[in-house]
Amino acid sequence: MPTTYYLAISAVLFIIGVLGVLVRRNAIIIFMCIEMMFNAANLAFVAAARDLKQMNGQVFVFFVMVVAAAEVAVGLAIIVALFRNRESVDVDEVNLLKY
Amino acid sequence: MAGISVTLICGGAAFVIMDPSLMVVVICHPVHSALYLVLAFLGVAVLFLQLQAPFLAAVQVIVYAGAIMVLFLFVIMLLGEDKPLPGESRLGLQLPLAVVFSLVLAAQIGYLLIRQPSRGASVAAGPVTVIGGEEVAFGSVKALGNTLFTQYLFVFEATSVVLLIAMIGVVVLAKKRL
Repeated sequence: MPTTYYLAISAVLFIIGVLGVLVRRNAIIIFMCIEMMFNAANLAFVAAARDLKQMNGQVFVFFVMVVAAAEVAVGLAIIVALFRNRESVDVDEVNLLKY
Repeated sequence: MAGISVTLICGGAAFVIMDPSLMVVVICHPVHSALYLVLAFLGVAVLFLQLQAPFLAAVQVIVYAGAIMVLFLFVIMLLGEDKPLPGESRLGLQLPLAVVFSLVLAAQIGYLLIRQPSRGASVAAGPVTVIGGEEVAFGSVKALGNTLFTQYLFVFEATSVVLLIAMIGVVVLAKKRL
């Protein structure tokens, strides 16, 4: 399998994630789509690491996973705090900073 | 023969990634979305195995498909938001716009992928580096650990601070009164 195929899979996964962030209203599902985009980037990193025969790409994926774990914890805490104040996770109802 | 089976496994994994990830976006029920996302993460883990990253494949299954998705399911359960939102249907102009912009992004990335010719299929086994008089293959846990704890030692220590700050932030956010 040439590296281009893996990059194509990564691109499709990323675009599906972008589409999900744009069309969904549920904050939790938007968050899941962001995780999907993280995974697309990880796949591209690992594919490039194999293509260039460098271990650096795999180490970067390791760090991306650490940051993703921290980001998920903070993000879900924000969603829980949002739900306490608004009784909803609909991002359309969080519009105090709009306009 | 081996090449054909490898291609089949990879094509299957690609399908196992794309189908559930589309379902995450399309399906209404958040719990079903989360379960489909677990399936997509497992497909990515299979691709990691194919790309000579066995350690990352294991971490992908344990951390992503295991810990992170359990956290998601726990929050969905805690909030009781397991019904589709009433406002999901009133997207109006945004839905066609989002599809158009996604297609534009796909066209851009596709153009880059086509214009940049690949270097051809990579060799099955990577080069062998020598660490401490011992031969270490590319992609092995030993090679990863060697890079992580020599070249990236400071960054590795810095991630502990990142995790600590995230933990403090979550504790503060989770308090009843901010």
